[in-house]
Amino acid sequence: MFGKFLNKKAKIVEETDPDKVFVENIRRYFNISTKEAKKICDIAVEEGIMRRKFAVICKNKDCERIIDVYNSLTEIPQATSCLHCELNEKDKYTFDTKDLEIVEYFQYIDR
Amino acid sequence: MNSQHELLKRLIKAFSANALKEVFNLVEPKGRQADHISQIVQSNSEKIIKDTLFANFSLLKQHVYTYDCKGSFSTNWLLNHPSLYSIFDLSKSHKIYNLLYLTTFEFYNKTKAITQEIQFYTPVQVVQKGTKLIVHINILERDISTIFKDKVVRTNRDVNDDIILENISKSLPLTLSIARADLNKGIKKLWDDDEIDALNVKYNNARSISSENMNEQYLVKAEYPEKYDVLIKTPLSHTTFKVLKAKNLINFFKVDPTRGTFSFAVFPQNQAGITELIDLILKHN
Repeated sequence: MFGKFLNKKAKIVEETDPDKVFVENIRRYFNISTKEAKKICDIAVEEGIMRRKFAVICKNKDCERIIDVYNSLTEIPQATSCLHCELNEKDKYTFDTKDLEIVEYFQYIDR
Repeated sequence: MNSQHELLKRLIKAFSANALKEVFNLVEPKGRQADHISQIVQSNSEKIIKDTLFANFSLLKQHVYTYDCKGSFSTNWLLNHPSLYSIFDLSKSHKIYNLLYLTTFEFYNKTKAITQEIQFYTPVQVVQKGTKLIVHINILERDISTIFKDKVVRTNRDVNDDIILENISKSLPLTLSIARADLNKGIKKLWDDDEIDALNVKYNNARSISSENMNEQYLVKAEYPEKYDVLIKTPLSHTTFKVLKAKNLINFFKVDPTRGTFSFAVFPQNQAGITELIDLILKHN
């Protein structure tokens, strides 16, 4: 399966945002299981084809946007504010990061 | 609990900690905000505090409602309004009315198991300028849980933006009619010229309402120029902009161009930034 991924890499880069590849992008592209897609991404990181990134997601139900992205979990600050929610006058816009969803995604290194 | 002294302390909490030190020229700018507030209320008269607040209204978080007017204003039409504080005559067609609405918050005190009331002033500035009427209402977001040691839950307030707007509208002379200003043209001109770009946008298609809420620090036009070309032809509703060029205005603002309303929910950094931004939009409208 990883061989298939390498063969199709150029096409995947063309059809997705190479800076933001979610496991679901790979799963949908090959029509495989999420577990298999995750495995492909993990191998791609080990092989130096992609790097792992972490997106911090806003907790407010009508926002849920990516507030910011980081290269590692240790880089993420303890508190995170969503500017959009602050400007939209939400009651809560600063969160303990431990209460927030953190989504792993991948970024191509060599395109 | 609701003495004039306490009301004034709550009133000046409308300023950011930095603005408070600046506008009241605090000699020792270091220290806790609560101490600064007590010091200001003790060393300034009620008139000085209220005058300073209205002179620096542009530094407050606020909602702004813009109206087109048809007909003629009578002289000092808000003169007999019960909440009127002061009037400034800048020219024949430019007047500013400053009002203070006494607002009562009802809340439940969980510790004492009783319902109590606390009062605040809501500062309002009504600007009559040519054929435009612009109503600025301070966003009253005083957190009552910081005022009491007991556990409290806010339940109700008797004055809100809708009540204030209806109240002002009822005070208008019969010779005048007003309608919410449509700001689509002015906003779109600034967006076309890359003066501003959006963090999020909501717009009306013929058969649906669409919105984009950008991730991270991305902006709509910069990232999706093709989508911009489509949405710029539609009526815009709630949209949040970043100001890109004019650094003397304001960093971010939310606007509903179709309904002529603004929200400035982050403390403005520059004196008159809000007024100058609105003037710029109206100039291109």
